[in-house]
Amino acid sequence: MLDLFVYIRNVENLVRCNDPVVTGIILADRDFSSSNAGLENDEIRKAVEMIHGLGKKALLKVDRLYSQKELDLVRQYLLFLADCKVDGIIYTDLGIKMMMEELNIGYKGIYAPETLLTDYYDISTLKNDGVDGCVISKDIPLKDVFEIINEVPDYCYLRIHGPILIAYSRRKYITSYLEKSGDYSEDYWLVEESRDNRLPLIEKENGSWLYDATLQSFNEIRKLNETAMKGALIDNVYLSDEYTLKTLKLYESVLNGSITAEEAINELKEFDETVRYADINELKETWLDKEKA
Amino acid sequence: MRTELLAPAGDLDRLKTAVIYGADAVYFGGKQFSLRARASNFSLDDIKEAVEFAHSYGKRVYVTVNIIPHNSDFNGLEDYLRQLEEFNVDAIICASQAICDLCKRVAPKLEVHISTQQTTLNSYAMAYWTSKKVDRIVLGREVTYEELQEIMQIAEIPVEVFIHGGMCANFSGRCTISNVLTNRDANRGGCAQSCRWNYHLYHGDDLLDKDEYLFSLGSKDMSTPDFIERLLKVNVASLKIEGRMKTAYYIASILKGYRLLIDSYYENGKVSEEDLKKADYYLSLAANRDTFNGFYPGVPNEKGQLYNFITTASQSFIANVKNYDAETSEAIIEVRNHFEVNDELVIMNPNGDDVKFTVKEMFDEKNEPVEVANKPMQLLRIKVPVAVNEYTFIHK
Repeated sequence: MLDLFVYIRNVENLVRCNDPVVTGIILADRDFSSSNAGLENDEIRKAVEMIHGLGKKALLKVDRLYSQKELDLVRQYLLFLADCKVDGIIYTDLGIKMMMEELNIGYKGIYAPETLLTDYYDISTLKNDGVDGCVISKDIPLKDVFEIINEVPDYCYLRIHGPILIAYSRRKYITSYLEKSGDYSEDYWLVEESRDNRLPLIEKENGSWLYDATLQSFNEIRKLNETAMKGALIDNVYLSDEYTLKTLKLYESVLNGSITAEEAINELKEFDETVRYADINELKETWLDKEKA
Repeated sequence: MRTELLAPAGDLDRLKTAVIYGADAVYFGGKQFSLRARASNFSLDDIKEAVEFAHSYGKRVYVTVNIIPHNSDFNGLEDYLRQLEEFNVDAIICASQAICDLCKRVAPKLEVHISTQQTTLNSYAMAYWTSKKVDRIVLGREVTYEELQEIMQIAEIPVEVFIHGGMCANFSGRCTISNVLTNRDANRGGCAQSCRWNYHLYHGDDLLDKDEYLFSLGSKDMSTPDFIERLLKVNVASLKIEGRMKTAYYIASILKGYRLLIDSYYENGKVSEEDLKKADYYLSLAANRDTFNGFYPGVPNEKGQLYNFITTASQSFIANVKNYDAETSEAIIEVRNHFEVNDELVIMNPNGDDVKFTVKEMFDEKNEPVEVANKPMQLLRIKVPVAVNEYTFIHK
């Protein structure tokens, strides 16, 4: 059975993840992660204890790119996480790898630059460079994902469910457009003027994150379960814990064969009809792949 | 060590223009493994000729191998890198750990420069690339000048920064809007610049559109003449101009502007107000979009955003020179934009100040007098007040 890691926004929902299918729980604070929710430090400490009490691993999202001016705060935060005895972090900035080495930090680091890990040569290189684990880019065709997992077994993680990040910026887009500061982190979205699809946009103090549809892998989860993937991630970013817990149950049911993938998708659509989905299998042959084929 | 001025080139002609107009180094992409798929890009024969031409002027040549590769993109890469090394290319610009390591292994004479696609923003991220023994890092365009000062105090390897041209609105290499909206892979040369499109902004069900213009992610272009002195003071290795798809006239005028600022700094220890005025004049010649200072003054607000995106082709470039007869002081020019007899025109040569003159008469290839030049690519003969050559541009 694959190792499943799931992002939970609120501490009170942790106990509801006490499910054998869950290997670890992902948490996030607001300042050092891309999350628009985020736990305070005392909540993180308590949550890690609770997660360990459930016999599961605790991972933290430290998944922003950091400016030179932020490095001292990042260092303090990494040390705080060590003190909390987290099992690992998911990071986007290669500087974090070097800082972890300098601090001789006791937990693992999983490198997740979203768009950059699109081939097995690069992922093998990172493994040789001492990176503990890598999250394969969600922007490549599934056949490429399988090739990568085969070439670099027991090392790669894959996002199997959650809103697809399509842009990340240091700019504050909504503040700029409205010419007014504010909290623009919840329920803002864009629609391109000649299209219909909603693109959720989160703005925080340190930048903006734009998402597309929500990735789902119900049709492929049984096949993925048979691969040498190190772990699968369910990260629903801004969606509720209720939605995530529902998602988790449905993957478990598809994996044990009690429902079909189609039934799972339909059930999830009924649960929240505002969420638009993209099947992991329909991603992401671009014109370049087609030309090559 | 003097800071280098690095220019883009979309083809051989533009490369030659860049070299003649004062670039210390030129970068371009080959037919494969490079972003900017719509730029003309260089064949292997072109690359060989480009290196020979640039090196004959003592200038350096960098080839972009900056795709974010998929598994199949590595086919032929090893041979390609060896070929670049054989041609005496000075460096590759890449964005992949694997390409970096491969190049070090199979073509060790090539320098490896890490592309801005890797979004290196801090000294710890730089330390990773330093540990891989790369030769230069191109910083992300999101680094402020204050942060750059701090980085340069710690930097163990040469640093390259952007000074001019189009800007990704999002972190370079971390944006797939183009993939999603147009099926064009931004990280493999197909970016459709969907960030510049218009979007409706909602909060819940409330539409937040302004009456004057819709929401856009798009960025104004970068232009930083007033930061050049400060960038030179912190000893960055290279000042980079963006724009492999830009015209030769654009490259010439932009280079002319920055060249004079850099030269003035090294000659006088500072950049004067007079220098900045002159530079502004050259930078404005080919400008077709609003500009700002990028992130150097700090994270941009609405003044760095490009709403109502329209690119207006500059009409100032009216002809280039095909031939010059020193005895008669006559030039054969190729028409690019409308002008008429008695118009005041300006000659921009690679060296020296621009020279104004009034065109008194002009003749076509049949030696017939022409009053109005309005046929693009038509060859006309005119008298000019100073010597010109094939790298001379005539503008209004």
